Amino acid sequence: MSEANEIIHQSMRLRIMAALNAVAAKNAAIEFTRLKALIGATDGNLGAHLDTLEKAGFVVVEKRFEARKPQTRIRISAAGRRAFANHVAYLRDILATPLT
Amino acid sequence: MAIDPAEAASSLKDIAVVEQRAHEAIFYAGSSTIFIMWGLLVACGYGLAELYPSRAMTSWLAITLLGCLGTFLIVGARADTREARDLRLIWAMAAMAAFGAVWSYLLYLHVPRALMYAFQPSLFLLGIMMAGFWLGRFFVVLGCVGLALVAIGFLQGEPWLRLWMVVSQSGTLILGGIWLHRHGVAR
Repeated sequence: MSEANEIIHQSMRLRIMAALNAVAAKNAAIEFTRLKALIGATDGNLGAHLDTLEKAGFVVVEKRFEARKPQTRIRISAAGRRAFANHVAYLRDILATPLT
Repeated sequence: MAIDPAEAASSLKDIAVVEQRAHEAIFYAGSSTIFIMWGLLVACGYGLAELYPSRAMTSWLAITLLGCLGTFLIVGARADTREARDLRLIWAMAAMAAFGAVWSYLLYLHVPRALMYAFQPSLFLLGIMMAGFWLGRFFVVLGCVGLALVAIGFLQGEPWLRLWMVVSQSGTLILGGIWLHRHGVAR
């Protein structure tokens, strides 16, 4: 049986990882504002959770300027993708395991 | 860390909701170019029909074929997974466009011109609206708005009919495409 991931399991971080994993084809990144809209978070809340996920090595945050405007883009790392897949497998195992 | 089955089920439901939204946003971004392209083609179609009225049928047929080809090329270029390469929706829209083109060809000598201006775009917008039941609310809204504008144009008739149709149809598609671009997630 897979193991629970305490960092990912927090509700908002779980949504962040689910969104990043869904848009992760070709290692693509997503803009901060788009991610915020997808998961229904506030700026501060999303920023704080992204810090946690970045420190854990699950996401990569890139800051750059586009047309002189600062832009933050986020993508899931290979480790993040593996950790998310393991955590989802763990959640499914819990539901599949009969109660004793 | 212990997670009970109720919490696990709730987490999986959360994940499914976010994944659904993400896939919808990806589809929105992918569709924006197609909508803008069709908006421009429709404007060209009306322009050509105005300049060369005797060849209007041929030019509309060419525009439709060009649009279908462009749609297939855009979808083919963007698709990078087996799921994304599922072209059933595009084939359905192409079948609808072909159906409309054939009936337009058969009917255009026998029905009022205002009806011809309303028929093909109505069919196309109905297709967009129905596709929205599976693809996302935005397409339902876009289809309904487009159909309402076509109906208004049809009811008001000449002398503003053609101008109304070109502005409302191209405008709906181009503005819809821009909205999709702004709210979608490119991958």
